[in-house]
Amino acid sequence: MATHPNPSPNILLPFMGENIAQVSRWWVAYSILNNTVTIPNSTEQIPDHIYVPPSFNATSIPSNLVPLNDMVNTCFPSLENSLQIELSLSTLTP
Amino acid sequence: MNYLSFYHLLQYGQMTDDSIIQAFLQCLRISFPQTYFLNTNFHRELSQNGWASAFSIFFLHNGSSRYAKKTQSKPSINSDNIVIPIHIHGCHWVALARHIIGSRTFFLYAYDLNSASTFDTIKSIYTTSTTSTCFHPNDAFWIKCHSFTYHPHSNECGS
Repeated sequence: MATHPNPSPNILLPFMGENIAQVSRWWVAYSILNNTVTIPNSTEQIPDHIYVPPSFNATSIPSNLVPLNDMVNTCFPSLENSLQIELSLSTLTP
Repeated sequence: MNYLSFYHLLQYGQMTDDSIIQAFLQCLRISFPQTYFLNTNFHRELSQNGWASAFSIFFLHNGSSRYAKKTQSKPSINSDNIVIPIHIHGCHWVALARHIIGSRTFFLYAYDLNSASTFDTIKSIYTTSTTSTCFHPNDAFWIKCHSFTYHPHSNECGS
């Protein structure tokens, strides 16, 4: 938000995803451990046309990126349909 | 930051500790040196003790006082990009960014619960009359950035 060249109410929507909470937790942890933060280049990865849904309520499907406990399913995100997924892979894969 | 706060960060359903947010902001500061990240205590200082006190502690300013000498690495009031982490309701984090593009000052706000009353409250705390025209010009433009409210919430608040 602080550096977006053309801010609008919808600039965060491309980064939303059903597992964003857990992805964000791991992204923050990875950043702290490596003392650096990787953020997708907004001009390259944000689509020209952002889909704006009729409602901003959605169902989350939490899953850890590596096994931690039995409370949450563990899975690696697919490569489909989400910049948020790309974000998780780019920051978690060395 | 200690082991337990880091452990909680990785655990689903656990609250994210203030020290984690502060450590992450320091990482962001290293990666994005042109962007300033205010301390997580800034909002509390502003809302409880007012702009003069918050400014003297968290922004760069000249002078011979003890506070002034400690502010040499702090953001200038004229910095183009300032990120303000806001802790509200005892459990949630709101992201606020002041972004200057050309001659226009934007305040970008994001809160995943999309609460209109919270937006109004935050805006009232950061408006011209409660800060300064240097920080919040009269023609500053607020943008409420949309985000999804997920169910289950699965968020930093621990619920």
